[in-house]
Amino acid sequence: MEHQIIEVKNLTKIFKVPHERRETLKSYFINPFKRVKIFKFHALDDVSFEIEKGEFVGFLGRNGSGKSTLLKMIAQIYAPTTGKVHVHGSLVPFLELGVGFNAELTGRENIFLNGTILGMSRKYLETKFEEIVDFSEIREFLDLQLKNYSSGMRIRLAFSIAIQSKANIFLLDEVLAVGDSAFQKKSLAKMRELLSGGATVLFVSHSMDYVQKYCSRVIVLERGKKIFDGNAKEGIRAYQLSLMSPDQQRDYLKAENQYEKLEGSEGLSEGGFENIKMVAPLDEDRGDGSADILEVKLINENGNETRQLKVNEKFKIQVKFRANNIINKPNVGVSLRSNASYNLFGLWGAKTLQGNVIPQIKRGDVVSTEFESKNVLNPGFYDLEVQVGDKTERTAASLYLSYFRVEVIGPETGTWGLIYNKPKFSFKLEES
Amino acid sequence: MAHRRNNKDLLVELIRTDFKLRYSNSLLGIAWVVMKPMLSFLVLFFIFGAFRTGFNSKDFAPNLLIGIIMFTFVQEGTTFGMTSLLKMADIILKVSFPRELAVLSSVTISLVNFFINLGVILVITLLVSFVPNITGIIYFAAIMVLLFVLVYGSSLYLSIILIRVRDLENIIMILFQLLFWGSAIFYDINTLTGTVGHLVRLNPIAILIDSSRKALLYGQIINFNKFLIFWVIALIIFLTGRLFFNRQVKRIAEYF
Repeated sequence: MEHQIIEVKNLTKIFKVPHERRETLKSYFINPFKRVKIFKFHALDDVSFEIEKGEFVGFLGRNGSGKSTLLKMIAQIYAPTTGKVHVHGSLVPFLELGVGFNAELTGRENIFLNGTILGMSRKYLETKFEEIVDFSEIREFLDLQLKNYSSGMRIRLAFSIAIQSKANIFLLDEVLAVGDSAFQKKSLAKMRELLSGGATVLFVSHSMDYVQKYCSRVIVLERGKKIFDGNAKEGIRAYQLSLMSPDQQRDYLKAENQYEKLEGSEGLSEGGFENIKMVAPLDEDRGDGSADILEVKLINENGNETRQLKVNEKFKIQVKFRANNIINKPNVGVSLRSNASYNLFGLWGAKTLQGNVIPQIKRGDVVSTEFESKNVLNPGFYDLEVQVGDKTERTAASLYLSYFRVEVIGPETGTWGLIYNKPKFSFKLEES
Repeated sequence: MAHRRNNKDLLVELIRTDFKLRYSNSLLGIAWVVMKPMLSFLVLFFIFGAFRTGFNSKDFAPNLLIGIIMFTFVQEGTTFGMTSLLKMADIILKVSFPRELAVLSSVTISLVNFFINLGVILVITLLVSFVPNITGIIYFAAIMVLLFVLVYGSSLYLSIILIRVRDLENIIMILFQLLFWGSAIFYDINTLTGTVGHLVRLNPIAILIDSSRKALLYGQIINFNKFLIFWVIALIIFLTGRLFFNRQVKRIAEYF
């Protein structure tokens, strides 16, 4: 029995894109010997890898980097230009959920249509029918035409059918982020079940959360070339770097360096550090450059600069910035985010706290601000985000975002969750 | 666990779906299967009934009907088969299943239509007091199988070529218009004279329609040698068509 379930060797796919496409006979007749200029597009360029049974492999890359072409070639939909794809095992032959669904047919009819397209027999589908209907939670809509279904219902039905396939290789193109969160949980649990049953999953997603959570391995493609193959954390980093302009890459690497130093000096654990990458500022509005944040400091109870806080400790956040332009009613906002990028807390100082307002600052003015509060977070890692803006408070007016990792250390509070709160509590025997 | 595709069930499901969809939003629904050839029958019957067509007037209706439904099968089957890949492009680009089934199901749908129409014809011919005989029916059935193989085989070529050369659809449409006049549908093949007559008598569809009429209505077996030759040709087209189709279908995916 072979371990390698999928072997891809020196795979190259060239799409020939004629500058003017010959699709009609006329073009052949008018000038049959005219050479049509052909632009060769390397969708995949000498890609090799092997995938073993039981792996959950994420494929990352920008749009047009060749991910889908690659999956289509593994699924035997496109033929390679050169190189080879070997698949030892049975492939569930879908790349997208609900392929072959027909809007004019009822849900019931579509179960059989989609199921047989995926290679299942009608008889097998009949035995699994109840399971499919239960899992998809669409029982009362079974005899309704699919065109009346919501997109969530469709995708739930599609997923429920697909997982009944007895194949052991699943190719998923952006499909886990479907349905409501309850269904997402259920479908992920189901995927795990399939994995533990020996299935192999190839997964294309733009959700770094999912990739980090589920993929045991990540392959990153850039312009048809494999630029990374390894563990998920490093893969996500490689992917995010590939998204950036050279300038952004430089900033990112600089920031990363700083964090690494920080990690060394203050002993942040690895898990805390890694998540910084997921909230790297690249997706955020970086402002219009009309101010620079010069300094962000976290000050603990004893008046020392720190990156660590104790539960219930008093702290200050100091932000110093310089204006590069005239800013009317400048303002500073801070927020604390959890690992999952949820805002736990956030406010604009001048508006919410009604501190003294400076009517206007001009180019070159330096302003320092301070927030003082008490830490209500339980032990863990949090990101501090700082924005400078003007009176309009719109994010669009924000000038700079910087992420700043804060670690809340013990003492252990005996509570769970992100927020620390110890209510008063009492027992009273009512009857006995 | 082995994962064996169930191709038969997929074929049935594709046909079932196509059939449902084709008539699901129309008022008369499945009646259109019968209506279409019957309406062209009425047109031709009244127009050409006024001319001499080589049939005696009593036989004209069943002769015409057989001609129409056989020709309809060939035309519909070829057209459906030819466009089948293009029509299923969105599925073909996302799921790998045996592509031949797309073509096969389309051609089979026109065969199903043919059988529905045949049922109607049988009722009519029986009303006009013909008694079909058993060897005639067997010969007719063999001719229909032959036509099916021929249509399916050509569709395997045409469906692939259509993806690269979209003009094919119009070319085939014009070809069938020509064939309609040249396939002895509303006249007896033997009454035509001159060059046109010779040409029509070389047309396999005309020959097979003629043979079917004689077999079904009079129990006569004619053109048996030509029938055998056509079988050889049909098998060659079918077998080379499959090779061509399966070699090309993967390469063609990017041209959809």
